[in-house]
Amino acid sequence: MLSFIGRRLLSLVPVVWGIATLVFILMYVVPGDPARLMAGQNAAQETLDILRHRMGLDRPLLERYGMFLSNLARGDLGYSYRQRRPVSRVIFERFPATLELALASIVIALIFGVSAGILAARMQGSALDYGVMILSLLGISTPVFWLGLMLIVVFSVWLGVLPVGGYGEGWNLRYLILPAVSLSAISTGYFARISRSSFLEVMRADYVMAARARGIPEHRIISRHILRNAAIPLVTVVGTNLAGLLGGAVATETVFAWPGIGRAIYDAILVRDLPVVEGGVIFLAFIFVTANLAIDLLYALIDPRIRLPGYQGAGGEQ
Amino acid sequence: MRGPRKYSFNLCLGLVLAAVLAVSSLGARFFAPYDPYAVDITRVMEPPSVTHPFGTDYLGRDILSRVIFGGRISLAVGILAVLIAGLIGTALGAFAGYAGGWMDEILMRFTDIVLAFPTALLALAVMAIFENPTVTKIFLVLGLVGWANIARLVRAEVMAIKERDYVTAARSIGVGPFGIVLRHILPNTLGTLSVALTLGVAGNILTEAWLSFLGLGAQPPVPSWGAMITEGQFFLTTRPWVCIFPGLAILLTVLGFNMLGDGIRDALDPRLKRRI
Repeated sequence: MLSFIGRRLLSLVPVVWGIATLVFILMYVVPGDPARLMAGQNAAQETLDILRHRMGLDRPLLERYGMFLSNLARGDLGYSYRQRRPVSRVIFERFPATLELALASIVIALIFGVSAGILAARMQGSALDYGVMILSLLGISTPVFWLGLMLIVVFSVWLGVLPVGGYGEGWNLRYLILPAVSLSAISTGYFARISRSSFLEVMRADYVMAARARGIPEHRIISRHILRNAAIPLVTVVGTNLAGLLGGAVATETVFAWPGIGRAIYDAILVRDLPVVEGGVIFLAFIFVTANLAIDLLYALIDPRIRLPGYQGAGGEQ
Repeated sequence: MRGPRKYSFNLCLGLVLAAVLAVSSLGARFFAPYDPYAVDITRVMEPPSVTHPFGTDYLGRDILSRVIFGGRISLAVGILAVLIAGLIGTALGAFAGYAGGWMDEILMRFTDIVLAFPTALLALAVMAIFENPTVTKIFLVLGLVGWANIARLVRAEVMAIKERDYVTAARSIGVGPFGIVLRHILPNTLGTLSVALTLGVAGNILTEAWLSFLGLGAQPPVPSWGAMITEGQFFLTTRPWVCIFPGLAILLTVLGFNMLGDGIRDALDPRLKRRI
């Protein structure tokens, strides 16, 4: 198990390094002159020179790349042109709201997606099964920002039961409901599909039949034999869905004026505050990568086969 | 058997939705009742009516016409991006799978790194640096970031197929590696590939709409569905139709390509059909 964790941690390094390098190229090589972006179009030449020197722009590219990487390793994501403070502080301030929204969405998606998927599998071929399948396809095809706007129209404008947006005072769940539900649409659809098909597959496995033959009660078969095995593909999908969830959060937070990193990225796009955009993206990408690492480890806990070095993936005919 | 009927339903509805989009996009000039750019300040924000079935927007432009023309952008971005990703992914995957050895090792390590990136966020990071984002840049960016899963898929297929007897036979009569890969192996991966590409179109259309909604895609007055929703959201509470119709268009289009991809997969893989 330890060597498995070690291997997975090591595999993280090239990914994070790759993301960082790409962002460095995007921020410091492509856009021409960051100093002019920061100082504005009408800045005097002296101001530009001072800024360039302070930002290290007069150094060779490789040296700047080294500085960028070592800054990043210490959690320094650069300096916001507009807010005049470190990007890391902006992110630190905004992260709790994004985390809250993302967790709420995953919980909603797991509860509704998995139970719909299991219901559909138990009643395969029924009208309910078709209903779940069509709804889940609709879910994975939904533009989440649009769904958010539609929920606002129905629940805030027509029914007037939930707030249009914002975060509210203190910890107010009423403000969380609409953003979390709209953001969860795509994940709910995926979870329903994957739990239905893996439930169906496991239900027909030999060991489930053997358990039935031994006369073990149905609820015990489901909880002890089916759920645990059917959970394995689901765990992977939770990880891959996180990318869509974090991306979707940028749009959802924008629609609902939710004070998270996504909204910060959007506001920064509007005023071309590149360090905040790129720093926010690096941070979200980092969250995605580490969450997937955690999921891989969880995966290995559920399914001991995965810890073996040569193991190629679950499923398939044994 | 209930199974087969359902899958043909997926395939059929998917085909119909994709065909409707294709026909209305290609014949946009013919089908759109108005010029999508024509401003009419005497008819601003009109609700849906007989003359304007989807209503008008804040400049009095006909929303139906803009939705029809917007389909062109979505379809073009979806297909072109998938073609770029498909070409890169197929070339890399076929090469890695056929060559094997250290080449395969290096290429697949690289592919795994790219796969670990959250693609949409990567596209956002790239689009944000352009002073003037355009539709062309979107499909280039989406194509260049989206090839990794296709490379993985093609590699696995190529590795399985290259051991078949007919490939050995072709090699023994002196067909070179290029001939074998192009003539004998790749045609047999087309089935799997078509599923991935169709689902890729759906994903790209959704990402394009998302980027345009964030202001990182088609710029006004270009009638991109995502940008139309951005313009409409300021009048959401009183004039919801400005947002409703472009969003429905995105939903139905993406649904269509997802159904089509699912349908093709089930049609190609009878084993899966029997089991699920």
